[in-house]
Amino acid sequence: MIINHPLLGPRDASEFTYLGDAALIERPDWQSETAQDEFHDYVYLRDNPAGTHRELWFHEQGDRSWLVVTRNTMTHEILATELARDVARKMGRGK
Amino acid sequence: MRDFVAKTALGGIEPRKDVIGSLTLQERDDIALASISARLGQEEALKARLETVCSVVAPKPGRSEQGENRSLHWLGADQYLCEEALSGPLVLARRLVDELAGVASVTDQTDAFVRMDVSGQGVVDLLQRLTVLDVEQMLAGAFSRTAIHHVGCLLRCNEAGMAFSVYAPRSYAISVHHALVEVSKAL
Repeated sequence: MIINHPLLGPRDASEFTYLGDAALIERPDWQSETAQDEFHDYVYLRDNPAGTHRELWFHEQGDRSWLVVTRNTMTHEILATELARDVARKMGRGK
Repeated sequence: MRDFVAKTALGGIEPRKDVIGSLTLQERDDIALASISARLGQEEALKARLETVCSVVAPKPGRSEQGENRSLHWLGADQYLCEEALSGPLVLARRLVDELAGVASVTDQTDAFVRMDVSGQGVVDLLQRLTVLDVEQMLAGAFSRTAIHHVGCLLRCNEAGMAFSVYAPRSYAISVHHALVEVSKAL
């Protein structure tokens, strides 16, 4: 499998490690009134779609960037790759 | 205390040189390295400052740029590795700290990596067996981090198909050197 890195171009999937659902970027606010319930959902609940899935990949043997990879879990086709920091910034996370 | 002997990363007094068939492996102990990371919001300011202090443009992803005295390698988003001839312990890092004050953080990497130059006919065959990169397509100035025998190394192409530099973590110097030598012998 080849992952098209947004900065470095096509790179072998063996250079990457997989973390999981890209929803992990949306870490709840620990000071919220409902933090306990939100953290329960954040830690334990995942969608498991047969089809398009957004997930976090780490370019461990490359530039050590985190990517959000949109992948079809049935065909393994990779539909999009973005730098996770760009995704997080668009969501108002990070600086 | 005064009887300490300075040794190279591969354990010798002089840098090690191996000639295996048409290939030459040369350990380099005469270079200084320092990594540079842009401070938040100073990414563009750092690029401009680097052009002034290194006399070379900041490299694009996957590239290395050679200046007159210093070269810059792209390490990651807004991160670079600066290389120049070794003039003493921490000299490069301390100079860069002053030159890049306010726009970047600098870490000395001279003793973190060992550079090994690999050159000659067959160097592409050697590296194809050791990394997943498309080594045969790398042109002069191509630079990438990659795994060699499960060790995260840096690889630069100095001359397409003929000459490359491997930067191995110093703590893995002998293991990476062993891999290069053994695979060279088996070609």
